[in-house]
Amino acid sequence: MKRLVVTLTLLLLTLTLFAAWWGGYRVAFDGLVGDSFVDNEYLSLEVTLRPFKRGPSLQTGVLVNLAGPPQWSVGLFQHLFVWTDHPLAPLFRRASGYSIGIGSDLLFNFSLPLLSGVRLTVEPLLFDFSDKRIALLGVHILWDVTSAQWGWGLRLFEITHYLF
Amino acid sequence: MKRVRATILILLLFTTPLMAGSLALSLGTWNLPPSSEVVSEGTFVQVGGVWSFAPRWEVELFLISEATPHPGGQLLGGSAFTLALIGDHNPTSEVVPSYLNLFLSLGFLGKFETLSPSYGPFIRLSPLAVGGPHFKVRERSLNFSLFYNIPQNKVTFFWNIFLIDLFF
Repeated sequence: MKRLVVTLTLLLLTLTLFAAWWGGYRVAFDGLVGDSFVDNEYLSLEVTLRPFKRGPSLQTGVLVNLAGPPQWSVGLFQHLFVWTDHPLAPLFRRASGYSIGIGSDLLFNFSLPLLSGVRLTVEPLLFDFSDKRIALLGVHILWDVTSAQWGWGLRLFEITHYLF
Repeated sequence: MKRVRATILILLLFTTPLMAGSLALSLGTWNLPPSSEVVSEGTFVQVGGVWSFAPRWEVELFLISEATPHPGGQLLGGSAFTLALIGDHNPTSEVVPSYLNLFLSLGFLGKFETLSPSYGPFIRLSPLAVGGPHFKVRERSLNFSLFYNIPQNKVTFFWNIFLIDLFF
């Protein structure tokens, strides 16, 4: 009996660690300024996985542009906190949380040399709607591996939609 | 002159709450093909205001600014009249509004630059608009516009993949 109670307690505790929404897609619009990047808008299409409530999410997908070759990205993202009673809450019909997010990813070419850049992203305007997350005006800091120079960029808009 | 300006400002401030309809802040992305010659290459953001003044009609004013590589380097402005094609998006309180709608807009877009001017009318189709004034938020996706550039006598197109309207 004791063993059953301990097992059930452990099972319930483990379940509380898992996120209610743990997988979906992410679409973002980026402007990147660096030698190996073109000036036109980049469209980022990624699959996202967030197995744990408090843990980071893992993203992978493609970065496409009308004027240059596509790239492949792999990275991690973590929101620092969630403020539910934030001043912009009356603007939204659904319950929302304000957050600041930090992410980092590696950018790869589909040809040699494979690694093209390392990117750090800070998202100061991130709104969490449980199954949906919207971010505006994020800032990228880029290390351009090809030219060994620093660059920068802006994430104009990002939407993450959890499907399961 | 100062007195006239102050009077107009005061009148506008007092009459704004009396206006029928709903006001919204509109934010979105804006882009066009690299070969368009309207602007030089970059990424752009669109910020504007929408006034839904009738159940099916609204008017919009917006500014488009370069975000990268030179923030604020190129600036465009425009306005549009929009018609909801599927149903009333801002009906009276007794009627249920359409949650999903299709919008057709007719507007004018111009670049604030005299050296290489670009201005002219545009027609825009917003095929996937979800929400509205009664839902506080509206998302207009995959907006596609045909633009006639008068100085260059050329037809080109531009698009806003996302436009989000936050109604007050």
